[in-house]
Amino acid sequence: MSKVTFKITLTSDPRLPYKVLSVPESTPFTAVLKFAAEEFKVPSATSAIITNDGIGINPAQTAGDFICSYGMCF
Amino acid sequence: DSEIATVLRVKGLLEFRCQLDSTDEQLVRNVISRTFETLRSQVKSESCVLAVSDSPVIIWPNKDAYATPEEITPSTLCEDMHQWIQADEQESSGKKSSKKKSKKSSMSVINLCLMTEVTKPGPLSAPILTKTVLKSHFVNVTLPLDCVVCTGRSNTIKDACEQLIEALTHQLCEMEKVTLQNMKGMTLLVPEPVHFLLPEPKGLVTVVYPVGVPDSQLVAQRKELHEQFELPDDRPYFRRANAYHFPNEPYKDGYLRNPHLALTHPTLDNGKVYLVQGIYSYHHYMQDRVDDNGWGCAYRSLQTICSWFQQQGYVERPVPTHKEIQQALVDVGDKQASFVGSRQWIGSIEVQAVLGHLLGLTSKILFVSQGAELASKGRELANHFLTEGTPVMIGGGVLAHTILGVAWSETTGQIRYLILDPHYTGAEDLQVITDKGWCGWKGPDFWDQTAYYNLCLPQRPKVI
Repeated sequence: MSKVTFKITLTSDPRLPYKVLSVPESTPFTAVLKFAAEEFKVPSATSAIITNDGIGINPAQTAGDFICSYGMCF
Repeated sequence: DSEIATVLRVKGLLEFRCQLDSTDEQLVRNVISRTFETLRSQVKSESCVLAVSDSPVIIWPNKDAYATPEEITPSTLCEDMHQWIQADEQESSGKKSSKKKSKKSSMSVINLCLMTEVTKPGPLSAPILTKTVLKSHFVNVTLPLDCVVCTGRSNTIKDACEQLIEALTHQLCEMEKVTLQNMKGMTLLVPEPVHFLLPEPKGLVTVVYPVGVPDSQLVAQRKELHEQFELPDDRPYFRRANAYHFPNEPYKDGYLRNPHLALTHPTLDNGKVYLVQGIYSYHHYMQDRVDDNGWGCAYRSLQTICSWFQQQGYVERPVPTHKEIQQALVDVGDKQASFVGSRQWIGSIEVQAVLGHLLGLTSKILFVSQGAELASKGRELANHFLTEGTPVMIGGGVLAHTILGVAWSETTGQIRYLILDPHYTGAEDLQVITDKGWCGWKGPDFWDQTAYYNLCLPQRPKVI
């Protein structure tokens, strides 16, 4: 099972803290969001993840699918 | 100053009838071609008549443009025809705004009906009937002719007749081509003309499509058309949904289209106006017998956005209902099943998720932590309307709205937002909607200065 890695920045904090998360590529994105929200100690129900250029994410995608559309795949 | 063009639109039904004594493909094709040739002669014959709709005017185009009433001569100017036409003052679909609101339209349309004189005075002769018993196929199709011709200021009736007859003959040739191309054994598809308004200077163009063949199977034809008319290959111009809607035809679904066109746009120092491109429908509270007063504003804004994608030909799916929107959010795992049928609010992120799941669209999300910062998004919004031109949904401060455009000055930073308000609960009355600002230009103080706002900017798919 390969993993995919994300750098997630919390934009509601002016210091823009970020975390680097690795998840199995089959993880549905809703789980990635929950995981990231827990790490940042913010409520996941009122949080969303978007790419650097503002593209919103389909929560039904898996982490692996998402990386291949918007990130770097080798 | 560009002259106001008069567009002549002639519609009519021609009976395509032929007898096929053999099923040999080449023979069948020959018979079809001959039948089309007969129809072309019919159109060029003296028994062809053009009746101007809503008027007493009748013209014989192939008899040197002889017309009745007798005040009309072949050298009468086309634009003078308007005097004879009795426009219908009451429109059944919603109250139209008074004369002062009607924008200077660059096109006036005169509708004509194609008719054939069935009897004419001539030498009397006894009819002869013969009866033959023979098995054959009989093809009987009604062809919907629909041609448009643009005339200039100085064009006379005679000129117009020549143009119209030429257009009709040309359309019959196009129909013959399409019929033969789409022949499958003994099945013929009806050829149907569709009009498209291309960017200036190309204007109105008519394409004949086979009825029943979906857009997805006509990609090759559209590619050819894009090349022929030198159009960009990343946005649709020739899908059936892109068909031009003539100004005098009401929309059957009753929704208002582009109410913002009735407004006067603000002028800012060194400022420019950036508007939504294309056509959208105004969706708001209480429509479709759904009482969503107080909770449905974001849903309505989402419906307006969906209507844009449908009318620009990107999706065929009709505008989703509140329940369908809620079900979509459950289906993608964003909400629990109990969400369907509830009156819960949604925001920009949910709008983006629904656009993705139901319409296959990508959207960009913009956000500001304080409403006061929205003024700084002028350049981005201007750029969005220039490149994508889609309506924007904005949510925050307990309200949702649709942004249809911005007036923005690069030098002074002044900004105004063109807002379509989904909180309107009244009827589809353009006058009220524009007078009371339900569709109107707002300043930066329209936003709650301390509230957090998210914006959903839908992106056009790069397809034709």
